[in-house]
Amino acid sequence: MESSVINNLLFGFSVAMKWQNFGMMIVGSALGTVLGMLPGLGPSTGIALLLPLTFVMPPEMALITMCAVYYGAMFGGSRSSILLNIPGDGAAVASCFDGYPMAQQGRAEAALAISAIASFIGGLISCVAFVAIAIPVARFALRFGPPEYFVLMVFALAATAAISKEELLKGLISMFIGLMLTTVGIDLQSGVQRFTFGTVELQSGIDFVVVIIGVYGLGEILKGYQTLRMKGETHVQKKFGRIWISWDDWKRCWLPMLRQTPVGFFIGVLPGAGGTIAAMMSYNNEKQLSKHPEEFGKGAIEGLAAPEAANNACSIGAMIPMFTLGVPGSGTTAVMLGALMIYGLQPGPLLFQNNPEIAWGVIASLFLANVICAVINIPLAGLLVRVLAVPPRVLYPLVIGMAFLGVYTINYSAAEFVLLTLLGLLGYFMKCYKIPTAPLILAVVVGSSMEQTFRQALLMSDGSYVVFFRSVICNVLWLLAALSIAWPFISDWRQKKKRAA
Amino acid sequence: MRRDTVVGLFSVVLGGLYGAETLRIRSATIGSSWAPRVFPLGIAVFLIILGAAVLIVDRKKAALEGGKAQKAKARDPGYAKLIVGTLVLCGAYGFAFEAFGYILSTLCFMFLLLMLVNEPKRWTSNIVITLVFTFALWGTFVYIFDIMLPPFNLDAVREMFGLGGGI
Amino acid sequence: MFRKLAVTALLSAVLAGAVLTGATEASAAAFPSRNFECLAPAGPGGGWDTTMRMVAKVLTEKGIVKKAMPVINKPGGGGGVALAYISAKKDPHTIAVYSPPLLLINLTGQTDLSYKNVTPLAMLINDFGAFAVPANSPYKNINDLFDALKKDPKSVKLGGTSSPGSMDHIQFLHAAKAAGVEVKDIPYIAFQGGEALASLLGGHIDVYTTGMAEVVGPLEAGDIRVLAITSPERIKDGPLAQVPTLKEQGVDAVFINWRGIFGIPKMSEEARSFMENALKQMSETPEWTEICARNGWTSVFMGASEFSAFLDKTNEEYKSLLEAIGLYHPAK
Repeated sequence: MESSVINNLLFGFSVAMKWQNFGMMIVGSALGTVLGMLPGLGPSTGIALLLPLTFVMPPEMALITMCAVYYGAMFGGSRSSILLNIPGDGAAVASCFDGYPMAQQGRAEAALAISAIASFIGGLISCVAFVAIAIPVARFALRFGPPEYFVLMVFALAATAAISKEELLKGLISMFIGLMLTTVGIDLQSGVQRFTFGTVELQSGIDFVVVIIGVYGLGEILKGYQTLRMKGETHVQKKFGRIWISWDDWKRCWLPMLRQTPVGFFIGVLPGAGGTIAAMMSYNNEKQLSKHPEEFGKGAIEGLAAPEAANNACSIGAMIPMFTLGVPGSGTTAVMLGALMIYGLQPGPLLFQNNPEIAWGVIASLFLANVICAVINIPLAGLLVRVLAVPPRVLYPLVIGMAFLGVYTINYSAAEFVLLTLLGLLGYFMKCYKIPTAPLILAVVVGSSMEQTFRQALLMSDGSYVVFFRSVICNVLWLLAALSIAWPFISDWRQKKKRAA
Repeated sequence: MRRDTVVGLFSVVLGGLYGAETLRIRSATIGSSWAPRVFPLGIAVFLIILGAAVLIVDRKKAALEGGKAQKAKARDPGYAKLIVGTLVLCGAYGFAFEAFGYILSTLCFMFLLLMLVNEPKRWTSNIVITLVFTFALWGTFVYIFDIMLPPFNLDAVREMFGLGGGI
Repeated sequence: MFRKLAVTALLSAVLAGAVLTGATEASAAAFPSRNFECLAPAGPGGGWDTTMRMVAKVLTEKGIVKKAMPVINKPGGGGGVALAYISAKKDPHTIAVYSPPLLLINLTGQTDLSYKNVTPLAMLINDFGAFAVPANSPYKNINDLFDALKKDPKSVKLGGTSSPGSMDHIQFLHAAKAAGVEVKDIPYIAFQGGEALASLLGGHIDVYTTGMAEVVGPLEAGDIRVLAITSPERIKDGPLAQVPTLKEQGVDAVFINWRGIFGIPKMSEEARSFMENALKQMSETPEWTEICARNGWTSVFMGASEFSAFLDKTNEEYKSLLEAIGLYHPAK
């Protein structure tokens, strides 16, 4: 068994190393990185736009290119988080928390370097895990039904809202505002329109990317206006160092990267969860485990390394249900599944028997794309970091313009522009009044599935709430949720005790 | 007003308005008729409770601090003009984009935004940046990513110049 | 450097201006006189988008239409946003692709616009639905399932992708009604994306109603059993060839997921017949046949007048089904 895996993998490498495939991998990784950096354009748009390629390329080549774009976008997504505090997509939100403060303290080089390194490590470990344990993990993930997903999301939200004791109340308010935004649109279970105010545009709901760009991006810029024209307040970096990290940074990061990778990987395998949950959970997790949680949010390098490793691990994990069961684990893999079907290929365990060159070629290409992305990203970061030399009075308008175009590409309509403006105002308000924005973002990402899984579960049980305690998974997750709410109080108490001693 | 007083009031008012709107949701004709309202109502109730809690905690704090005002951070006095100007431009951009297509609306939007933020005295660089931004992004989207941005809205332009609508 | 860029930018602006004037002047010429706007009422990657892109590709590459046909995505409101857009157009150089949701979003009250607000040009593709259960399910054929539903409509958990009153839901009710099941009380659980299939494999729902393409993979892998497909005849090859139709099992029902091309509301006779002929020519090319085979679509050409009559009939069918479950909300 073991040797056959290695043989198959070697065969896969021989497919992936063909010069045409390798060349497309480089092009795809570069294109994906650029795509990921632009706000609003994420991996799923990128891959969807590549679909026509399937008509001119052999299947393994097309899939390898798509994986490279997916991968590149995951690497690129955090660039704008770190440099501009504007996440490229949901999975990169957690990279803002400590990445942006690092950049403001003049440590942008280290931030960009660790994000590429962490992505690389998270990706590499997950590739190995993919090869070794894909099928049992995917089978286990099927035990997650609507009730389990609901409790999982409760846990994720509880952990994010309860990130500190002082902020607990305001964190919860932020969370509920986020949940509120997700109730707009046609209700999936009943077809009833909610809060659409008679507009067609609101029927499909508010896209979470609009919320992220509005609350984070636009809100941040509006806040920045307060000090825009004051001397000495706006920070422009003139000198740039090498994109690398020091030995001290490395010592702080290696353990967080290693222990958050499995978290991201498993969240990725679950068809109902995604990169945002993975990144947020690993961030919270790392903060709770850290010896100095007070540094988190103020430029702690491990606070950037953990979510970066987890979200790349997640993107690899998300391919498992697609390859092993034919179930798409995310929007991006759904599009890839479509591409497989255009070739008349059926994903599932049989793919490994019937078309080993595709299945193993793609897996091998994940390893290679991981290396290529890391290699591309380090010098590219050296170029990108110079964005910090642009004075804000020029940078802000440019970023606003890009944000609007990014939002346009979500629905190919300018109707969202007004919404984006209003959300920008909300973001500004929240920043002025010190309401944490992270719970809102996570709530917007998980909110609609949270409500839907809640109601799916009740439909399944014919209205009985016992269904939320039906399995060990549910009960463990409830326990974890309760623990995360209590954690800030526990750690506070422990510190007091230590000081007293 | 103290910062948290505003937050508490905001949460209570928002929860109230949202809750009222929730009651206006049409009853579901499939499954339980109340089902689409349950989740939003829960959110509304929590927003009100949490808002009230913030207000109570803040009252206690205010009593402890003895009415000492929170010190405000120094701000640029002209910032309000910038914020309002940007918001107005952003809103107008949406309508202009739909009406006139990408190029005209983006040229105007970027130029006006730069004149506002980057100040009129740098008008030459504002023009250059506007042109480069508009056409470079257009090229990137249309030729590299194959995303169609409507370059002009011919019908609107024709109507504007009185050239007649339909063909 | 900046100067050079500025010059290039200015030049492009002038050029763009020239294109604009050119287009305006050509307006007197015969149809088609300028570039088309091909609407996909959803985001990139789905069925509507793929169909529109393939139609535009074959039409232009084979030289059937001499003007460019860029595809524009207008997602939102289950196709309602694009419907509002095209129904307000006066220029006939705009076409869109639609399928059953065009009728359903009107019948469920999502939009006041209906298929009457567009001009049917041609039906191009048929696709069919499938009803799947887990491999270890007690339901061996479609009648086992319908018998269980007749005894207790709440005993079966039915799941599908997208909301109640949408295609997946309606196709199941259509079949169940034909088999004599009281459709009013069958609960339906709506999922998004791949979650419904995952829930079926995990045993969280009993039956999954979906399109044929979605079930092929897990069927080949032996994870599920497909009880029936909604086509009039059996599929010729592939793993679905072993799956019986509803009719074979004594349920007199067929459900077609049709896909066709539509034009603006008041299209001139000249433009309408040009497009109808162009689509007919396209459907006869070997390229189109190959595309259909690749995507698993059944190529069916139906001209404008026949298509129009088909839509009238189908609309009535959907309406009575939606009325039965209380989801019919006539537009104001």
